[in-house]
Amino acid sequence: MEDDEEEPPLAVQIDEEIKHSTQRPPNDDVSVGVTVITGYLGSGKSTLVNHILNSQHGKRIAVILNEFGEEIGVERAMINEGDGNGGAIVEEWVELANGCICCTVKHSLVQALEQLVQRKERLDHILLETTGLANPAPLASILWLDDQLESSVKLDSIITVVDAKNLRFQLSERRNSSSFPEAFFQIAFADIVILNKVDLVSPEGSGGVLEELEKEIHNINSLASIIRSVRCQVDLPKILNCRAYEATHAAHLEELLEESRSLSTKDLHDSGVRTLCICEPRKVDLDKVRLWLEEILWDKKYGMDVYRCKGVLSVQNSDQLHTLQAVREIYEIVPARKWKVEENQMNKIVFIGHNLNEDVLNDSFRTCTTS
Amino acid sequence: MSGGSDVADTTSLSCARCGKPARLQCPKCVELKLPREGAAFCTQDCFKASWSSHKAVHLKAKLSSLGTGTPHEQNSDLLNEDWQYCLKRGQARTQKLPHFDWTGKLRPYAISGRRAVPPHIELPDWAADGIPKTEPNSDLQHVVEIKTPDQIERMREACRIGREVLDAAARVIQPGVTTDEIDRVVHDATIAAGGYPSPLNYHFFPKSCCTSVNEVICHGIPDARKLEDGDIINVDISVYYKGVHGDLNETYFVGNVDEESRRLVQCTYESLEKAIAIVKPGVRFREIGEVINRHTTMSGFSVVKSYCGHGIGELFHCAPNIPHYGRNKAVGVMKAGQTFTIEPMINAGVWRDRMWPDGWTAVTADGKRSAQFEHTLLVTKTGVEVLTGRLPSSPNVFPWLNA
Repeated sequence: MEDDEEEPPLAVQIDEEIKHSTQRPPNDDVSVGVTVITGYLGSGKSTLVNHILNSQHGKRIAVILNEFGEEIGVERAMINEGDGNGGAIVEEWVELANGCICCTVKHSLVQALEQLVQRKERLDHILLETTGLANPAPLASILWLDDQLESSVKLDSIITVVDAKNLRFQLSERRNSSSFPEAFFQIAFADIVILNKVDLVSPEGSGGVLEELEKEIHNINSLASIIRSVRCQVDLPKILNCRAYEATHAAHLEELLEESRSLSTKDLHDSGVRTLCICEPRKVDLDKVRLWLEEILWDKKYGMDVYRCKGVLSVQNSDQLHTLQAVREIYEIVPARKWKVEENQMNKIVFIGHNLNEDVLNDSFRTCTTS
Repeated sequence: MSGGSDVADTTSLSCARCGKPARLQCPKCVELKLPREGAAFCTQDCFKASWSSHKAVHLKAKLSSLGTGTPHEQNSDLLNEDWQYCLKRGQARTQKLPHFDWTGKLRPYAISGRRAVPPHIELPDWAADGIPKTEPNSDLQHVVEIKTPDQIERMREACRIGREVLDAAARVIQPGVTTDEIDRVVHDATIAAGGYPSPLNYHFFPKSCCTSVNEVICHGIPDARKLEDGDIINVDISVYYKGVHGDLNETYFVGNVDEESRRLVQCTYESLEKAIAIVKPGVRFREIGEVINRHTTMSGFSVVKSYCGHGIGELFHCAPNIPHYGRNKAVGVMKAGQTFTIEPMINAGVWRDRMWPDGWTAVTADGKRSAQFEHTLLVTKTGVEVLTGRLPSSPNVFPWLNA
């Protein structure tokens, strides 16, 4: 080992180009997306991670295995070096800055990810694989940073891997007990659901069962896109760079504005987790909307438990379409773009949660209109 | 408490041995993917001359992944010895000035040994081993507490003591005094009042208060450096008394300071004042950042984003988190009975911060100056009570208050 060496090796030139890139101040253009991957043990989560790490995609991707948490203070990272190193996979330790987390704005995990990005010459994406975590919401809260922080990392999406063979059983577990099984939270908070092991369910391609499963998933969260897979062989472009938490990202708005699509869950037991959509054509007073939303998210008015919320708002005295996004108690309303001339200006808000009441939401939202 | 490790455009690496601009780096550090700071050299000669001490960095990196440290740093006896440099957030000391690409003119100096606390003083749970036990896992990290009348009364007392201790520190500030001497005054005054200086051994912080000079944003560690005419210095006091904490800080002038520094300090004072003016039940915590940001940018300065105001009471730091920058997503509204701090840090240059090798001291990324003011506040039914407010006896050190 080198500590025995008497003679120093030859010092190497600091590559100006590399030096410049590592000292580049982070900004929106180059911030690295972080995808949270969640799912039951055995769903194929690790297979997905291995697939992403090992396929020849030329991208430099780091996977953090969220195994230890703050108490131990380190996490293990596997990094695919991409083209630069022939796709070799390197293992590293990421140290969490322990200490006074309470007067710093960024959680120690975020700081650790930023340091990882700074150390690497170029990272295209980061995956955070949750191990043993029931509810991805706390991670989403930590990772959904204020734009003002100009962080070198940003939350890209939450992906839940579900096991097609066992999903029904996992969901029905909760109906027999008083607490929610993890499957509900994991699906409710997902932007993408990978329906894995489809080959084990319908080997002859009789799609009926799979359609049923997809319906169950959409009953809980009708905003999630579902990708069927065998052994998690998924196309990388489909799951990376979703920009699901970017207020102005166009694709999500189009989804919401699509008039024909009904987003409310139809059949359900009221106590279940489901999706609900409210619509209102008249313009709204933004201050009233904030108060209305805060009463629901912060005060738990009406006894509803909202997990996720996404919407578009038609705001009084503004030609801007505003987007609304919420994860548990954290929310953001931001002007996104001008309404197009041909667009039907409309308020449309989707709620995913528990104990949701459509009438109450519609009636209370109506009090925010200005006419 | 690292709030961000970003490097400003204008900073370049300096030779770890002689400080000249560095063009070469240690190949072993590259291989081990260690930080370039401390591994850059101007010539092979400087690298060769540093080799015997530098290579310890490789060993340390290997050992730290196994959970142990190098012998010359992890000696707990050293922590009690006088006049060493602080490393690893206070868990280690070293004889030599650590390597770093310093952003401004300020450098760390050696720190003195640990000060004793007499046995009759009530201790917080980190006093003995440096590790808070109740605080990290408490529900109060997620829910904002409404204080009982008894808690409020105790906080009034703790904050009053904090104010008197800070005033005592302010009175000794002049050129030639070391920040270590200020810490001595703070420590003794706190003990004399029957309180414990909360920062002492909080996550291993080695001293009883934070002293932040010039480009230091916050959490500066008192050391052997003498204050110089023209410096600005922030002294941050926290007192634990009758089971509750009080927290406050002020930035002072040392001798004659330049116009820009005077403007910076006054702007920071005013931004805190304006923020306090909006505190009352029903106001969103998020709004504090808007007020501070507005006043600061109007004056041409920037707001530090990595550190925030915080709830306080029986815990030193708890919910709510109150960012000082605008357009933040802070959750919640103020209610009567809540106690929290507002503590804006304002920079003359860029807002970004960096962390010194000691693991505590936050400095501006561009080396320009930073100022801060802090109060502990109680939301009342109609407004706010400033628990750490100035007393008639407080020293007259802010010229604009006389205007």
